Amino acid sequence: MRHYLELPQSLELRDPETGAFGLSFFVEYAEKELIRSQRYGRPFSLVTLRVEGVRELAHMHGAEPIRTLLRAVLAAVGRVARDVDLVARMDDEEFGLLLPETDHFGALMFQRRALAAVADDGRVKELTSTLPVSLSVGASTHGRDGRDLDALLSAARGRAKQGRRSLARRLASLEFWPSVWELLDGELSSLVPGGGIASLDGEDLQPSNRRLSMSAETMRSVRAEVMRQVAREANGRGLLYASAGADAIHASLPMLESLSRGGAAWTVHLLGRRGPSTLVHPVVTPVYVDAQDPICRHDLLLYLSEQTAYALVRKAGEEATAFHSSDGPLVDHLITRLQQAYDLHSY
Amino acid sequence: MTSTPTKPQARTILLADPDHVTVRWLGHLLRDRGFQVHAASDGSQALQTTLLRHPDLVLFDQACTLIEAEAFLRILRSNPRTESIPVVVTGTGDRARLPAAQGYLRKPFAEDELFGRLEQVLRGAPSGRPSPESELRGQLSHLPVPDLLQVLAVNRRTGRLVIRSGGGQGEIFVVEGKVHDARAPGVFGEKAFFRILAQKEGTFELQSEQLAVPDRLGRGLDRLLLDGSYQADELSRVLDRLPRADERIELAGEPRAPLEPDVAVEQILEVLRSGPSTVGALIDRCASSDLDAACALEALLVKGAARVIDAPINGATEAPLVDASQLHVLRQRLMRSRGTWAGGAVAKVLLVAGEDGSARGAALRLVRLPGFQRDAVSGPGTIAHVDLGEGVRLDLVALSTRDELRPLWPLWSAGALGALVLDEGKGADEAAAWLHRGGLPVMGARGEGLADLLPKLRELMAQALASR
Repeated sequence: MRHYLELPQSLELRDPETGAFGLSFFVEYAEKELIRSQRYGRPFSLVTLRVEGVRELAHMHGAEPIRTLLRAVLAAVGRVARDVDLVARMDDEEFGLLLPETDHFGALMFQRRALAAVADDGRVKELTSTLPVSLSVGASTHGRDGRDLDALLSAARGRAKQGRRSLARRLASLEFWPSVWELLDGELSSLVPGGGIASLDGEDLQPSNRRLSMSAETMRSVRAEVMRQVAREANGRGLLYASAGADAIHASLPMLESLSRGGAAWTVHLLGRRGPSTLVHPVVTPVYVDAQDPICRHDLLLYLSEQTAYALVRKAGEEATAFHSSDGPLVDHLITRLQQAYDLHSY
Repeated sequence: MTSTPTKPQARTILLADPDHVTVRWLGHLLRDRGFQVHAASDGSQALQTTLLRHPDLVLFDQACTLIEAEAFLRILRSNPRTESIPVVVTGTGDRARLPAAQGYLRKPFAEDELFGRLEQVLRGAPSGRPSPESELRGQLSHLPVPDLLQVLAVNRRTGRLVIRSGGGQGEIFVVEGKVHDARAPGVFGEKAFFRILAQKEGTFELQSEQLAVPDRLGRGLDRLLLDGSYQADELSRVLDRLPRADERIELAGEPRAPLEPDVAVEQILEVLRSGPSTVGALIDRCASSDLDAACALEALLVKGAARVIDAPINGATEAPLVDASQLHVLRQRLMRSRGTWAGGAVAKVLLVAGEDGSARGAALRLVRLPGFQRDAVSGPGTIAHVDLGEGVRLDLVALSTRDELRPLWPLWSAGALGALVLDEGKGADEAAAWLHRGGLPVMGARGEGLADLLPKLRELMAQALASR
């Protein structure tokens, strides 16, 4: 008798193929987290992870290899998840992750670590050599993106969809500077099949990517406004990588004075040649390069915060080609590659 | 004149006379009849006042020293800005031989003769010449100036088209149907023509007479009318973005961004170098067209080379942007979010416009708001802020609708309370739709609505603080 009662519960609780929790448990757990977040004002995030191509591959190769692959992917993700995080299977291809006590920036960090863990996992590499799949992830946060589960799932899936259309996918194999040069000088048709960069915006008017001729004055204005935005979000968390001539950077630095010296969760890296420093601040890390470094021939702004992402790369000069983007995955790609190129601490 | 930024003015007469008794007596009489009177006690002072004040008529007494009547007339007639100012010479002796003068009055004056002559000269009918034939007269509301000019062009008429309105009298000189020159109070040439062209109310009168007026405008009528229409439309837009005509402007030192070399900019700077001036007077005194003058003034204000006097806190005359309870709500909201730092809390409102200059110009309409201060940067981004009190600051951020700057929209709008859309067009509509879809309160303050920018901003703040 006990066996018959427990069996359906067990089936509901865990997905037998992957060991992830089931959808109904996920929903129940999420509802409780939502109530807790609303009651105590604690942060709570949700990440969706879609393994694309699973259905087609299952038809071709059978269920077992796919089951093995999904388990390997989840095992890799599980290595970067905390004990309190919950992974559940939403459908054949999609998994949902509940991240209690996690703000949006934390969710972005988790997302990034999870993708890196999957990409570096030996078993996954071995399996994907014959079973080519791609991952798309999206994150949403309680309060910021909605106050019920439907709204959070919809926001996370929307971001995953945006990620699938991101230029980052086309630059995935490139290091930092080749990525930058591709954005500044590459054939637009190679970046976006059938059109220019602008066509990526699609029907929803997402204002993501533009290549343009930008004056030094506009560059200065944008840099100053980015510094202001850091100051506006002073108590939030974020990353800023900026490069330019020493004078240009230091002109904007006083705006960072407003950041708390004690508890600020911002990391600001200034890249350029060694010059007179006008600001010594715990959140600011200077990164010195030699005169031959491409940084000295470019302006660079990479900004990632809880609220938004923005990247601007520009050739040096009074009026020069620039590329800028609010495409989150692309900004993340550039930051990752920059950190690798200059041995910077990754988050 | 409806198109000009200045209010209708009384006609101005300069009394150049060393005899204080005459000046006092005559001044009193003229003021009683509605004239505005300036006085000068010698020829040099009279010349200076004429150049500066540009009176409608000068009564120049032969007893004036330093510059005599003949030299005074020669100087006036050699300057295009003053050549049309009528001068009546006065004196106690015989009539002087001064052909450049509009007449001679012998002292002591007979009141009737004096005012009869003044009216005659001010009507533009100089004595000594036969009265021109007036063949065509009527109301501008029945026949607007452009239509009148086309009628004259078709009939190849020659004469002076006199337009009278509350703003004074203007004249367009037409030779064989072609517009050669124009004069309006204080201005001449193209500047005067475009002002007269924009008149919608008043009377007109064609005085047929032979004219020997050089072609100062140098364009065919069609082109002039097209340009005039463009100038009127654009001027109205630029004036909307400028401070009120009676607000005073002064030089503010080195501009924050380099100024483009421009004749009108130089002319405005030249006027400002002699001291602060009202917006209306600056546009009047700039020799370039009203549109060029207004654009130049806007550029100087936007780039920080000029500023509105008493713009910041000290000169504030409006009520605070938010009341105490709204400020409390805003502060609490900022404390809950992460927009606070040791120095206070920062919120922002977006001003959505195609060009940064439009937003900057519009922001000038908020100068009387307590705590308002423009920020010392050019280009897109934060253009001004308002200190709301209790350590709360509201940044006004220009969000450009230019297509190539769209990737900035998410960054610019992050954490914004709402948006005021200042422009019309596809870009502005798309930006408004995008912001609205992101959950921001969005309000239009386009075109005529710019005049109500401050009430709109108050409404937006109230909506933003009530909605979340």
